[in-house]
Amino acid sequence: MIADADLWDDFRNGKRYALSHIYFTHVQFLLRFGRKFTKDEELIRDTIQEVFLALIKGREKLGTTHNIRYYLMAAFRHNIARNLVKQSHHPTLTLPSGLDFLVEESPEELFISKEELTDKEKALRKAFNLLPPKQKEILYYRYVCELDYEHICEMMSISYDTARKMVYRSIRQLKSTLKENKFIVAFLGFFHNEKKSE
Amino acid sequence: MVDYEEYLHFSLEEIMEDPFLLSWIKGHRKDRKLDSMLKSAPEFAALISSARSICRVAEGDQPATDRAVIREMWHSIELFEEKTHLRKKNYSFLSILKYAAVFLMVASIAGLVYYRQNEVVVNESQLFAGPVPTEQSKLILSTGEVIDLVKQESSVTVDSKRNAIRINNDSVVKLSPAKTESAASMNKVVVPFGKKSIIELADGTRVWLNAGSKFAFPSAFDAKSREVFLDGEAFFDVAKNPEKPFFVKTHDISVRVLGTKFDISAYSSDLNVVTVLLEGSISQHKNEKMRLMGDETLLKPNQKAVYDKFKQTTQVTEERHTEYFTDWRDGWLTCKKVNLTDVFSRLERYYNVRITYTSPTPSNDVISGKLDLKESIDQVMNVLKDVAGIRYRIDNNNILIEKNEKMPMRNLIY
Repeated sequence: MIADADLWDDFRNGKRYALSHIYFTHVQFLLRFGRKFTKDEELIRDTIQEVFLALIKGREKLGTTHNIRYYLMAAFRHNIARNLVKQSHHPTLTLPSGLDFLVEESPEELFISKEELTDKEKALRKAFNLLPPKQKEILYYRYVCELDYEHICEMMSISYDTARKMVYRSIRQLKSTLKENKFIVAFLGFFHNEKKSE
Repeated sequence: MVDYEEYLHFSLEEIMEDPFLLSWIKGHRKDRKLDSMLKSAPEFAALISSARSICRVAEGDQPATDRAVIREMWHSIELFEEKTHLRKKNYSFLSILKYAAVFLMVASIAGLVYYRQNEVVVNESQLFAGPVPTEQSKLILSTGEVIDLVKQESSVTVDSKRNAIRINNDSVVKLSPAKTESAASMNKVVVPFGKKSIIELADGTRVWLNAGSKFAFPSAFDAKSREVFLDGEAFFDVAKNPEKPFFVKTHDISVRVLGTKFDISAYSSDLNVVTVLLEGSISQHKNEKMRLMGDETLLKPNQKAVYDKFKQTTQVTEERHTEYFTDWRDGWLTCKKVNLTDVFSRLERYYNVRITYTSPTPSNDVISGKLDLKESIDQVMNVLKDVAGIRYRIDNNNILIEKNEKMPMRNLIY
């Protein structure tokens, strides 16, 4: 494995393998990431290409990074927001807070086996979908992409406190779903020693 | 120092903010103590299971994208880079002067350094510009004429006596009378993922071309040397001719051959170029305009050279299990303690599928055994499932893989 910082430097210095390596390592992820914002596959692909073309054009001016995926995500998010505005002529959709964060329908078929989707998870999925887009987005960054708060704040243009609160509130909301679920209530019957008060 | 006792009193919110617990929950780190707590403390176990579910739900599930689409996107990015590169070369006068100065300096220390003149006449990346086809293998003649090679395992034979190319042992394509064999008059065979092709060159050399590869060759070799180009994997059985060395050129390295059998895997999307020698001897060197003498790697039979594109270094090791690198020709994958991830990437090419694993990636798992690549991917995965201790689900061209915790890995019996 190559450290991101070294790979990135190689790219900045014009080594040809670096670009293809960066592309093939991250493209699947970016395609999946893109589907969180739109169902328009072509737009996603165009946007990814835009991101890479911009990298090539600005190669000399690029700074260093230790996290290539984050760099690509941030660039992609910025571009897709702009492209969505362009496409929809939607005056209310402002940059970049107007992004909707989609969680796909019919997720069950894609799971490894259907039995694995427990009742609990089905309920959670529903509750997750009902969260405001920004909360869904932040949970995705925090628990799927495992970004630290610093990067999350930078990407979503929010303050550290807001980010912490958003995550905390989301977990709280999801937790209440878990409690409503009969199965869980029976299972968690014993425990009521939460440290944080309401 | 981690206070495990403390964790028993954690709320879900606290668990979701604890980096130590999270990395364990996500499977990045093993922790026996925490594992045992799952059994001894049911409330804790229930919360951890909720935390895990939240992580999974936040991810959602999406199909992976087809390799062909990804290649196509890459193609236009690559073209753009090529253009940008050329433009910069044309305009930056200063750097040309700089190079000229360096060149003069180097030339004056003649004897220590020599300049490779007649090598790399063809720009490999321009030769192979364009995506790998998705449907059928194709033969692209130097004239630009494109011929579909229909079959799953196609064959192309250069018949130099009749100045023709025979396809799949039936149809014959007459070549226009040989012009001077210049770099531009290369024929190409491109093989999509999931297909193979066998090519017999004008000198009798046989080339097995693996899935997702591009190969360029002349209809007749010139007087001094035999040169072919490769992006992908191929096995070569090179016809002996000490007077005319045989060169395999890839983007990063070139291999010089007299007469021998070897396999080279040089996919432009891979990080390493791997060469495995079975018979005879070969030497390889990385592609540079200027090169110190003796900057070559010699391979003996049953040795493997791995060229690291990042470090730009070559490492040679003894390879007792060469079958792994060559058996694909006959539709086998013979593994002896091979990384599972490596096997997966081979299967991806072979069956034109996309394999995605839910984290953690089984990067340290090794498997041994023989996979029959003539069987369907379902059958192969079914065998692998038990060997590697995984569960899988096939969805068109996508395969999702998950570690089967209940089942430890074991090895196939030969």
